[in-house]
Amino acid sequence: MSEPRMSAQTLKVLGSLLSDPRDALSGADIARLTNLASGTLYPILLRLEGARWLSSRWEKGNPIDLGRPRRRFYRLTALGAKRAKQELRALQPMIGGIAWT
Amino acid sequence: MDLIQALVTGLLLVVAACLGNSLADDLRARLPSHYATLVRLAVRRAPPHLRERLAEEWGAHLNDMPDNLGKLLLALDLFRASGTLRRDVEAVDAEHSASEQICDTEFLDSMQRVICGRAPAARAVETVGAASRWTFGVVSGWDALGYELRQEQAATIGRLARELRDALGALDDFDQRARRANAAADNPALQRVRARLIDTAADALWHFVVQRDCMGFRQTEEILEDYAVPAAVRARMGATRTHG
Repeated sequence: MSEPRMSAQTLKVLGSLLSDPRDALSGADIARLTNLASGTLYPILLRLEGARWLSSRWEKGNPIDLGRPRRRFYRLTALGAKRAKQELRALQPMIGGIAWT
Repeated sequence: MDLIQALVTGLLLVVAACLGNSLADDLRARLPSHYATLVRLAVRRAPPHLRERLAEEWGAHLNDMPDNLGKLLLALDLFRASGTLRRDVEAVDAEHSASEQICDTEFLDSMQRVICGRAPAARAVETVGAASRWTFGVVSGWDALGYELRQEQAATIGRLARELRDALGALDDFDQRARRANAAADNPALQRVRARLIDTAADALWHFVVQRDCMGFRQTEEILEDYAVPAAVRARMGATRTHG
């Protein structure tokens, strides 16, 4: 389990998930919220999940009944929420204020 | 003559327009299968253990895109994502393999010296051979011993990490309770309890760092950051206690 590298894009992803930590978001939701391209987004999501900052689960239901593939939902873990807040708080003095804190 | 030329040109233009529309309709009708093919290629490029998951997850993402252009751009970008994921996994594998090499060569040599007193140089070639064989299975007594030792190391490092996490958690919990209760920071009873918690955490950190060091992992600073070790605990790591 390695520490994820903090980049502006990673912080955007963490910020979007932190805006409502109880809510689980799909890759498409996060892409919409952050305006990140999927080529950037999915590697970040999988790195954060590998570092146990995020957990993920499949959408409830059967793809046949749903008539489409199931979405995968991401949510911050307790560790992820704590570390994300730390990272964003550390940045606050530099960038003034962040909408999601 | 001019009239005939104009008529032929006009006819050709009508045919071209009809064909263009028909081609565009055909292309539009086939687009979903093109997206699906692109996503399938991207999934095939991803690391094997992620393929099944990504196939469904990316399929759902594609399905959520409202327009054709968005779908096409997404499908192309997923190709880039799969390349990055593949490189990530390769980097982790390379790091893991390097760590294993350190454990095999340094740790097993030292164990062999303790057990039968042979010089490490005498076994250098064997050790390199053994290191490359770990992936494929146990082939000698030394391999079996190495396997047991690594299992033991893994169990120990896991136990020590849990102890460190628990000790840091207890200290954090104590500090939070003290803050909530507005307890005075100079209260001697609280200071004593806190000092004990710090010592316990510092001991746990010391044991964890030493064990990691034995296994060839020497980046202590990363551990301190990973576990968010407070400065007070860092300062007491490895120190002799002055109170009972």
